[in-house]
Amino acid sequence: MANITLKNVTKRFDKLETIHSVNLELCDGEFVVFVGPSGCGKSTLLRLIAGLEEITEGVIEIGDKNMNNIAPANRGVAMVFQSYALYPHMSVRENMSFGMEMRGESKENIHTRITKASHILQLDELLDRKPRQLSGGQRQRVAIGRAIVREPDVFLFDEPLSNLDAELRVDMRIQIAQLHKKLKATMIYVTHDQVEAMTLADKIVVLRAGHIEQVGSPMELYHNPNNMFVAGFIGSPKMNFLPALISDIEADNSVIVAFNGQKILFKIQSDKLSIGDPVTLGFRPEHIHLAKQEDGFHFDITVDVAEHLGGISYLYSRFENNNMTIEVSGENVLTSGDVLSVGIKQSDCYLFDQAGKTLIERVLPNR
Amino acid sequence: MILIKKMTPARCVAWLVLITMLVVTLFPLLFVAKTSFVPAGELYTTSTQLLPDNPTLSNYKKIFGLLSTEESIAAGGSGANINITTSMINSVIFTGIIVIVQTFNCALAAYAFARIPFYGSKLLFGAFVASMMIPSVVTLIPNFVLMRDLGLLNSMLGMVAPFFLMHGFAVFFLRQFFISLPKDIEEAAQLDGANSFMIFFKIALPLSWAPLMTVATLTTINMWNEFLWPFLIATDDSMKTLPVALQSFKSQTPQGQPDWGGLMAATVVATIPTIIMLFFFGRRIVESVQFTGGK
Amino acid sequence: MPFMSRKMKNSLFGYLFIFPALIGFLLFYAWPAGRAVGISFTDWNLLSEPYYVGLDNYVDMLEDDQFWNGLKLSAYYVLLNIPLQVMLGLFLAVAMDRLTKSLFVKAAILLPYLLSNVLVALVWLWMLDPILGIVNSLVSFFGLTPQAYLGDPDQALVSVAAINIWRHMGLCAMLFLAGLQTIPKYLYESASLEGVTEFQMFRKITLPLLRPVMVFVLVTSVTGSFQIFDTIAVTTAGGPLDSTRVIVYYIVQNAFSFYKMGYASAMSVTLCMIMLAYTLLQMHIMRASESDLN
Repeated sequence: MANITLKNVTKRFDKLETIHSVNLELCDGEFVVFVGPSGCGKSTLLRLIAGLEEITEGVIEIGDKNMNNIAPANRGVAMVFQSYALYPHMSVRENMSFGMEMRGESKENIHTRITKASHILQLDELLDRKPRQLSGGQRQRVAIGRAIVREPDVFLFDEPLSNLDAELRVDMRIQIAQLHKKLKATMIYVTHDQVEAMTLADKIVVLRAGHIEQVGSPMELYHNPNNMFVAGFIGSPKMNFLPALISDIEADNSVIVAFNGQKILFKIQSDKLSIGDPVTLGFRPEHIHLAKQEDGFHFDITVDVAEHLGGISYLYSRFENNNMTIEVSGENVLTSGDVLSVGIKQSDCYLFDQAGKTLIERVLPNR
Repeated sequence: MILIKKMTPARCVAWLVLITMLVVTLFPLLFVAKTSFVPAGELYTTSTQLLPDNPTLSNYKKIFGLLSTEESIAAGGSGANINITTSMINSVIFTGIIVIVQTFNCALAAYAFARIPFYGSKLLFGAFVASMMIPSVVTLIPNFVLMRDLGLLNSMLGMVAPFFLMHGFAVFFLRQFFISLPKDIEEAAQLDGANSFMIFFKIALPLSWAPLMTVATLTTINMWNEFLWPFLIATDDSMKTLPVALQSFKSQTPQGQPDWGGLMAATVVATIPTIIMLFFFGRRIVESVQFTGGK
Repeated sequence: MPFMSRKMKNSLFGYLFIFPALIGFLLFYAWPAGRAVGISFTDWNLLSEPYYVGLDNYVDMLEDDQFWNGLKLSAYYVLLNIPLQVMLGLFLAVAMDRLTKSLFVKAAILLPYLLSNVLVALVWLWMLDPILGIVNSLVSFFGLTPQAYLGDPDQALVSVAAINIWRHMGLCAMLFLAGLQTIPKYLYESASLEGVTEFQMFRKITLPLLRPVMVFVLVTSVTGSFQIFDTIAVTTAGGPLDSTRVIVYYIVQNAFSFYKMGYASAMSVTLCMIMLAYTLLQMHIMRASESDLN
């Protein structure tokens, strides 16, 4: 079984601490995505699990075994690198067999596994080519093939799709998802692309500056972000944020939030608020309606730029001095300079305190 | 291509100078070649001619030992001797051992300095690089004494000893290259279960063909031309390398005058390997030499 | 479980990798360099035991006219050699950069450098022979007085310098050419759009951007030619009248002709200090490590 446990994992490069006491539990067979902006430590965390970097403090366990002093090759992990890291002087077949030869696998075994992997990844025709004779997508598949033949307990992907063009990226994303279904191995996937995270993951780990911000399923993160950072990072286009005020506090954890002259009652989880505290109101572009909603806020916005994509349009707009993005479905003739009255349902609102922490627990829609 | 470009006066002058330089460079060698075919008695009369009047191969026969001493003196020789075949073979062995062993050792060390974080690596690398700054005359005496004490005077091992284990520049140059190799290829190999030696031999070395050849080329040039150390170590004719043999051939003047014909023939013979190498590996040699200043 | 921390393992591998080179470094660079200092405090003729004399060799050295003469001749030789060699090399490089990419031209220009000092010395010994040499024939042809060159105390060192300029000019040119080719062409294009003349471009763009190569060439060729030995050993053997007895020749002579190992070592250690001081000074002055490109 390849569940992975990180306990107080800390990494310092010289004096610089890049991973700050991370705790994490990953279950066997899960597809886990580490996501975050560049420099958040997601690749470092992956390399710590692989053993390519040594952890400074803490414990890494794979399958309940302490891996701190186990060589990368003996951790039962295989890694797919961003640059593919294929051996340039070896054929596709040699690239795949190298690891097994190092381990002293038998010739037949090597042959069987390569045949199997190359069949899964449609590499049969390419086995005798050198990496430089392959296209980007083919190289990517070879890199994955090299990982598959190792039959690892854990697959590690380090931004594997970032060197591919947009179309191929979608293609490979689907292939990787299928591969996970087929192999049922634990996979950890690092990306800065939240779309990849949302579409692939069973579990997303959002990282910022060496800390874990939140761990959860894609829908949990979408509906119940812990804080403004996660709220802004998950979802595309980004969530809009507008300033609001606490105008009154009621009993049983309820507050009245004032925004644009309107007051609405919210159930909240904090008792640290006082009247007059500024809060941040959040709502997603796809949740804004071009009409006043019965139960919710409404306000007027001015359109700066309208992008019409056919099925949907994005309106980059302003409310007072705040930029916001609005998604409108269906065709329309809205254009720059238009003033629109928009509304948002209370149930679609997110609310954050001054420190950016969430104030409301939203109800997950039933499947 | 050249003719299509406009011939401005500046270009004309530049071409003129370039051609002059080429003539200055090549003319002496042609003149030496001519002299090597001139019979001894006609050296003075033909000194201003570009071609010999009565070309002869006797100078060449002489240096390859095809004439007896009497014959060779009769043919205008000084009675001096050079065994050019032996010294050519010695030069090849001397250069060959150093180039192969030194390049390999330096590649090993350079890889460790580039990729393996071991105790003292920075300090040792600094020391290796600093060794380039020590003038060879400083280590000459202690090294000579060491060779004498080890009984290695007049031996091939003694001749290659100070060179074949290590060279600061080669380590420095190859380290630069290994640092520039994409690290994740080696990390992939590490995950594949290869240890440092396997990564070096199976991954890093096969990817380093070009820089290894550059280092080998430079070492070949330097060692083929090395004079002072083999001159001190190889006192016996049978051990002398080409430069040493040529120098001692030149300084033996039993008849009072240097044997110009023989000397020039020997010079031509000694130049031929270089020209052959230049003919086959011209681009590699030019680029290797250019690399030295690039960093 | 046989356990070894990663650091220990790395160190084990690291030292295994550098082992042969390390032996070479210790045995033939570090130890002899130290030993040279040790020998310099002794009186030793290689046959009897070395005899400790303290700083006597250094004191003798400072009072030895031949030592000072050697240093002076080496310095004089550098002054004769380097400026002309660098200028000719630079000129050749610029001309080749503009005119031709021909490998034949490059190879021909570089050929003298690929020949050994001994060979080059023999070639020019013949060319400069006062009676049989073509140079004097040409000199006479133009109605000038034939000279003795390597046989004349006033001309010997100049002649040796000329021989080495001939050998190293092509090397300089190749190094500068490599440097020139790293300068992006768009710099010249944008300069020519602004009406800058070719000569100004050379002074304002080419020369400043060639600085790293220039430093390299200056440092290596100055330290290299200060240690001139081979050519002199073949052509003049320090003569005539000591006029080419440069410092390294004098050191080697003391060691291997007079068997004054201690004295020779004292001079070689001093030479090493001079070279070191020069290198550091030169690097400092010209900010060697910095390149304005990239």
